[in-house]
Amino acid sequence: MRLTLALVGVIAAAGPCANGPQLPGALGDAARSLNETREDAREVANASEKLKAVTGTAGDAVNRCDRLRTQDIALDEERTIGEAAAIQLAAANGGILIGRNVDDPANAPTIALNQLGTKLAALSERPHLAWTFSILDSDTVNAWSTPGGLVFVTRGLLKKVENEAQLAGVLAHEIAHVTGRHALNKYREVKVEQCRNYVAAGIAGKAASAVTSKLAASFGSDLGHLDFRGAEDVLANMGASVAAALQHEKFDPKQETQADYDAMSLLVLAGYQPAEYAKFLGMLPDTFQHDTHPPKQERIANVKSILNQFAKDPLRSPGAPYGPEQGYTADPISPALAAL
Amino acid sequence: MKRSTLLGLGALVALGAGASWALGSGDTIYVRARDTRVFKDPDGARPIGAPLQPGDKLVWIEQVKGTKFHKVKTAKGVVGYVLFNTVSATAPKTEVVVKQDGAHHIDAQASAAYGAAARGLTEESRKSAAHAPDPEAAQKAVEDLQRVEAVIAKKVKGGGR
Repeated sequence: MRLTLALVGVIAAAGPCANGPQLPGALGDAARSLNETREDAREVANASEKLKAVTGTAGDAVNRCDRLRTQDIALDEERTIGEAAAIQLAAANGGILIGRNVDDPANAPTIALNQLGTKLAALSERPHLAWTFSILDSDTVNAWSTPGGLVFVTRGLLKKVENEAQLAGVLAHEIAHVTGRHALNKYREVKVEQCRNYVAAGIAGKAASAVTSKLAASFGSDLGHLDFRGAEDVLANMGASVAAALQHEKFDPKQETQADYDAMSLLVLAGYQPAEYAKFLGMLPDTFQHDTHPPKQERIANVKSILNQFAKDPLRSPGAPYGPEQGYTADPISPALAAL
Repeated sequence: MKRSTLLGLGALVALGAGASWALGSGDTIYVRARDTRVFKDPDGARPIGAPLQPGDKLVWIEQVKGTKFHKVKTAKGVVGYVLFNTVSATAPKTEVVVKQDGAHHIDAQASAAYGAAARGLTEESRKSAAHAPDPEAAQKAVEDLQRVEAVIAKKVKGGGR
């Protein structure tokens, strides 16, 4: 991004303060203070002039940062930030349950979870992603997904589900957040914040933080695409921000509604009884995902509304009704998962 | 919900739940699932032609009542039947990739070829663990995630692409 690359130059141009003449005692301190104040003022003026020369006005620069909020995120960038967030999310939530090698029998739960997850993901709007489903070694009841298709469920959640349809509902909801690119909105906000920090530092004539400076230098194109190669500390910082947002901030209510709709659709497509998802939500404590999702009763009402919408739709699609013989399943959960 | 009301939902969702339009014979639909097979009859017994991939276009002919199948024509002119949940009225989402000459939107097939399905953590995300708030726990998470990826590639159908 030209703006931010130019700002690197603005910051680099701001050198250390010049020393004043050496005077003794308090007089000397006062003189040095005065000189430093004048020097600071000159630096601020110089930086502001250079900033204006590059961007027109500070407002323009801020506007350019704001554009990052609506820019597409490239696939490799999405996967990389998703991985970084996933690493920190797993580290903060008990770690991942997995065997010591590929052939370890302890991998059975992970295999079962991925067989279910990949079946659902193959029917999603982004079947081509490298979907990865992992079990977190935590007694809490929760599930998350990070950009690029990394999905986590806790051991505590797996103990709660009564059948495969309920687990499929949880996974489908997380898949829907990925296909809807909902978490990327949180990432975009992190980018905008860092960009604004950089602009603010330029306006104030102060050096931006190391992270922000590296971030600015990493903007590689007008797209605002971030190439994290060689800037792994920046990636860790931004991954931590995204992971924290996923764990503590709510998605947009419209995104939650959409995720539930898409999840119910996936359940139907995969042949699972969608009403089981509503039942599962009803079984959970009121605290389930209460920091990051709408209240439980609201979610249940939304899911039931979707079921009614499905049922009452005039079936304008030419495909309905197709009349499958077996209906929708709510089979027992895989023994490997039930044994956890 | 009564079982009978659920029975018709699958095809509705597959071809555009909640949509206010109706497909007509000759309209374009899209393959949504990998390795989608076209069958000679609406029973799934005898596949014909090569497997189709997400984003492939089909001409919709009709839904075969009382079955899970739609009658379609492929781009190569093959007329046959596909399962309802392998097709969609909308194309799979495109992806953005950045090349030397700028950003490009690419379709599902190109995404797969570009490496969207590549397994294993990127070098930069692996290295990011050293800078995490808890580097030791993060490094363990990296190693565990790598093993999960390896298990999927070797043990899960379709996981290795």
